Amino acid sequence: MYLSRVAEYMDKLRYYLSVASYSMKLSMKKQLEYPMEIISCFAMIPMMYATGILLLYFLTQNLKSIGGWTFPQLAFLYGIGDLSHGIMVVFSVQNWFLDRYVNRGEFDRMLLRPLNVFFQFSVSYVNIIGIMDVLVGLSVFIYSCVLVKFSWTFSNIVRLVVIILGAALIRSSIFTIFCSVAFWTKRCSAVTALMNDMLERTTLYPMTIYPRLLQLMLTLIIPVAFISFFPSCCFLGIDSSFRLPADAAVMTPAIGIITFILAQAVFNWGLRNYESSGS
Amino acid sequence: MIVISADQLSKKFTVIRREKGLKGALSSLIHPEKITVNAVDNVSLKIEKGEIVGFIGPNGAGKSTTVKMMTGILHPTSGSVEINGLSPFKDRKKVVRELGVVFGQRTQLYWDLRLGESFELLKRIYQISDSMYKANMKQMDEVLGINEFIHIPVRQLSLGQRMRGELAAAMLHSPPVLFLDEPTIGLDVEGKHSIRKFIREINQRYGTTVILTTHDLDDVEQLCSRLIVINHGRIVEDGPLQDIAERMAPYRFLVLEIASPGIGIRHPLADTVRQNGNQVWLRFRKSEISASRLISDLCYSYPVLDLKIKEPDIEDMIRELYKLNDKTGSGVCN
Amino acid sequence: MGAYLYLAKMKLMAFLTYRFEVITSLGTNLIILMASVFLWKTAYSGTDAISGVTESQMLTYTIISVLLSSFFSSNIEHSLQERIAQGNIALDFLKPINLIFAYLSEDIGISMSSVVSKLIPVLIISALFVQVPLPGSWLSFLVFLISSMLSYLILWLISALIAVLCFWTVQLGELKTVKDGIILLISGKIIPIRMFPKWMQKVLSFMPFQYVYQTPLSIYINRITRQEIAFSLFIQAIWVLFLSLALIMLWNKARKHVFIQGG
Repeated sequence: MYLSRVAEYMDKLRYYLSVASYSMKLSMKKQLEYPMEIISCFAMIPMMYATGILLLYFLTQNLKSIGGWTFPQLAFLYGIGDLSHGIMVVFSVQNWFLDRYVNRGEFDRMLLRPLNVFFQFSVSYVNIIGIMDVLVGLSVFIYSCVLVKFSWTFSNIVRLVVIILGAALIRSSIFTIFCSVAFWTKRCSAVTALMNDMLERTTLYPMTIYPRLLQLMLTLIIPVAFISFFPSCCFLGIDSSFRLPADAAVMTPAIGIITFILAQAVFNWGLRNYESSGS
Repeated sequence: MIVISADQLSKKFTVIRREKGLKGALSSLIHPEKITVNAVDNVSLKIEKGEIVGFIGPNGAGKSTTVKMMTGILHPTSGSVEINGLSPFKDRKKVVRELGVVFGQRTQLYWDLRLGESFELLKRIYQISDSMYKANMKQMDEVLGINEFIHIPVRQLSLGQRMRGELAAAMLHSPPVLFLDEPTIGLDVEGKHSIRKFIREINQRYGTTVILTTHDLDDVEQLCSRLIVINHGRIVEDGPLQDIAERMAPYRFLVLEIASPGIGIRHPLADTVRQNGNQVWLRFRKSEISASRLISDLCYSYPVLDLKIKEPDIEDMIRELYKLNDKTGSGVCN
Repeated sequence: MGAYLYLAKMKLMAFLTYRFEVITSLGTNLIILMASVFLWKTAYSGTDAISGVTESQMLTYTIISVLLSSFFSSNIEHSLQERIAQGNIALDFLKPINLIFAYLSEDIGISMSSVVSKLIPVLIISALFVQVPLPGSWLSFLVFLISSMLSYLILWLISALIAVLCFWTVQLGELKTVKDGIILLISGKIIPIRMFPKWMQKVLSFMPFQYVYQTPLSIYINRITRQEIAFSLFIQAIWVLFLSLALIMLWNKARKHVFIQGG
């Protein structure tokens, strides 16, 4: 009895995996048809990140520390934030273009297939260009680890991986939730820009520069603090002035899962509205 | 066996009215004015297994909206729809597994990839077994000639090839019900012919129920046994094609070539509608007199050299229908 | 002339019709403003002056910078790229209006709508949280406005130049974002150039970027002498001239390219 249930689940899993892997493979193939675009973006992206880190550098040249954070520590914060950003950009950047999906009738197509629409949406695009984001983020991160003399123990590495994946999940869920507004208004470019700006300023600088109220909002309402700030505090031994119930390596993935569930709910709510109002 | 049933299906849309000019833009920013549009108004229908039903109506009549509600893409404002006894919104995944849908203006295929790759993805999505996949692909090739262009990227296909690809994609998982939204639009004669042939074949071989939305009246004539006419969101005609044709265009024409012009042809059951020199066009009601009777009557009385029977155009019939039902309603949506 | 005004008005209207967009754009600017203010407040919590700039001056600098940037948006890259990608650009060339001025009018229209939808609201809302500093005198404000307009032109011309490159590369890719990033860094938008190492300041003074933000902002916070003001305005005007010429040249080249390629 129990075994047949397990077998059922295994079959279902295999089914979803086969659709996901093929869909993602097709998506990547599609992008490889335009190699020039990939190459030109590959060239530009490191420049974009360079300006970010240079800004930090110039700031700290004049100030020695910002709110108690030295340049190596800031670089670590920047790097760990960048890594989760890169992963999000590879696997869930389609959230940014949810309005395109709406306006091109892509969801009509998905609704006609016997599969969960959110699932289809999530596996519909794997962003090859985002790989450069990940590589740059990795470089910045490793550089900063050298600066802060990070100890590469097994437990640290595991915690790191879990945190970065959880942080990527938080990021992607935030975008899913806010970009779902496109189901109602058919546009989400302004919201996307807003979220990107907000995330940039809250994950690339220590949260302590903001007043307490804002810090609370960034922890409890939109859990941005769990993306890079709390994990950095944990690894660098800095007091975040927040009493967290558990280590960042537990909290970040947990929050990631919670936000993911919320994101699905909002997405489905938007989809229902789309089904009621047509296109 | 009833496959599709709709009961008082209705769809209302709220549209925001935009005023002209700068003042208008500012005012609609603060206080937008909303109008309700009845795109579909109490549509009820029942379709049996194996029927090929034509859905026609002028632009904005509500055809596509109705089809969208039947396929589950759009939620009705009121009323219900059932496909094989299941509701498309409550059991979407189950219902959709048994449906094939082709939208003439939107593609279900991957634009940048080879046609075959889209099929491979569908194979996985619908969990089609290898053997059935092979069998179906073979059949697609037989009737639609798919293999000829299966390795070409979809964006490089001609419209005719693409439509054949769409049809194949829709039928790949052997659905018992097929919705076609303007499948022959923009195709040349060859293309239309192969599409119609395909529809006829799957209907004959597998008893596939087909709902066909179209503006092409040849489609209607060649494929549909039943016709549903929608206008202003309401069904205005629903029945066998022959019946409607007879009701809307009950006339037939007899074209006579007479020995010399100027002879007035007179018959109690026929009207002369046109006279061009030696050619006389006569109109008579099918129900009142048979063609053979009329011919023998006239040949007996008048010097007829040659003759020809002309059936009314299905286009004439449709035009009559639209004219009849064109009131001052506003069917905005399609 | 009427045609250009009409274009500007059209863009303004199109913008106002999207209520939600308006609100979120506003939000973006507010976030940037708040974040910058907090960053600098933290940075100064221990020092009196950095590179000779006091805290109040720096805060002024930041706030006015954000207000300026809400106004300094340009859409030309995006609209030009779109027209080219869709193949409509050849049609545009056939119209009896000067295309460059047409795009400029459109962007001015958008900027005007930004004044209503972003600048004024941000000003009002931020006045609740921080002290929005007033300019030194009416004269300095006037000079500031003149300088800002020159800055707008410089920025617009740079954007236009990049946009015109579209004619040869079709896809801008990340070029616009890189340009924005560079501007962010070396135009004085975030950090006054004064805080950069001396050698960098020397190099940057030969490029147009610092004259976009640094110049008008410095005028506002009264950090430079009358002579320097006059000189800076002069340099700004030179850059406007130079970039305009470059744009016209490149534009004509692009035109020929279009007519050979066929749009």
